[in-house]
Amino acid sequence: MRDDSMNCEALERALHEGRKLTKEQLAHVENCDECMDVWLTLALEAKPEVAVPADFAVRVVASVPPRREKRAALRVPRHWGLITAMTVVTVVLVVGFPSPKPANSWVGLGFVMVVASEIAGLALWLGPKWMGR
Amino acid sequence: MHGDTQFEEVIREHQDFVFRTLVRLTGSREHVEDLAQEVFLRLYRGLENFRGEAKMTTYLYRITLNVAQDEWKRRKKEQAYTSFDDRDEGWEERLPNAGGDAERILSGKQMMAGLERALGELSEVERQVIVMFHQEELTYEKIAEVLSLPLNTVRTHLHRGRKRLKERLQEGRSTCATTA
Repeated sequence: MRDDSMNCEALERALHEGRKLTKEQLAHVENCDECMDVWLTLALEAKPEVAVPADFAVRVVASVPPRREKRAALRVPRHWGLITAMTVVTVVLVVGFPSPKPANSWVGLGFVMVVASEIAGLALWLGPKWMGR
Repeated sequence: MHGDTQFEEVIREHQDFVFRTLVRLTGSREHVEDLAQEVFLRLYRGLENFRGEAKMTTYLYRITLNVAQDEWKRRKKEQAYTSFDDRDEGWEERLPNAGGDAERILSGKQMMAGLERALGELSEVERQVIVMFHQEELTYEKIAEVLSLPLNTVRTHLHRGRKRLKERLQEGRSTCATTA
């Protein structure tokens, strides 16, 4: 419901500028949908003033439990370790078995290459995930 | 994110946000320091799982909301056992004497108090969305990520929450007018 006796634009400007409103203006804000919307937005955007103690961060850090050393030892799978392992496997597959008996052809070699790339792909995909755990 | 110094920096960087959000969401400054400490302790326990700053802030937002929610529930339970509630009564007397402006300031403060009360009457998720969007200026996308909700649901909660706030504020005014 809009109260036309009050200038909404001027009131909204006053609200945006943070000026104190008169009792009549406040009463208008409560009745006018448009002005209430502006007031509500500004009131919600106003951050409550909080007094954080100066030593808060220090106290929190002092209260945290020490980390267990076991965790560091558990972080074993390494990105570079996995890549190296995959390279070795690929080299062994390609160089060590150049003429596989059942598939002494380009088809056989192609098959070996496909399997090797799949394994390498898996390592590259899973490696970083494992490293993050 | 390792080392006490780095963690201390993280706390300093986010402590204002945590305190502000807890105050707004719980509607009280009581125990806010203990609650903020709980937030950062929970964050510390989960820090090892994070490699990116973005993920860490999302996690921090989530923890803050959870801690506020737990506190809200605890207070509701307490209120069920006691009829004493300091929020609504006698606060006018505690306002500083503002001379000729007293009445005007009182009206403004009454509206703000009405808003805080109306916020407390919203559903958890509506309150959370409103505080994150308006007070902390988070985007819809970020709020959706923090609350694990679809984007449109966030928009709906925000719209519905604001509508309810307006209704409550106007209802409150009518009640004041009829009781005056």
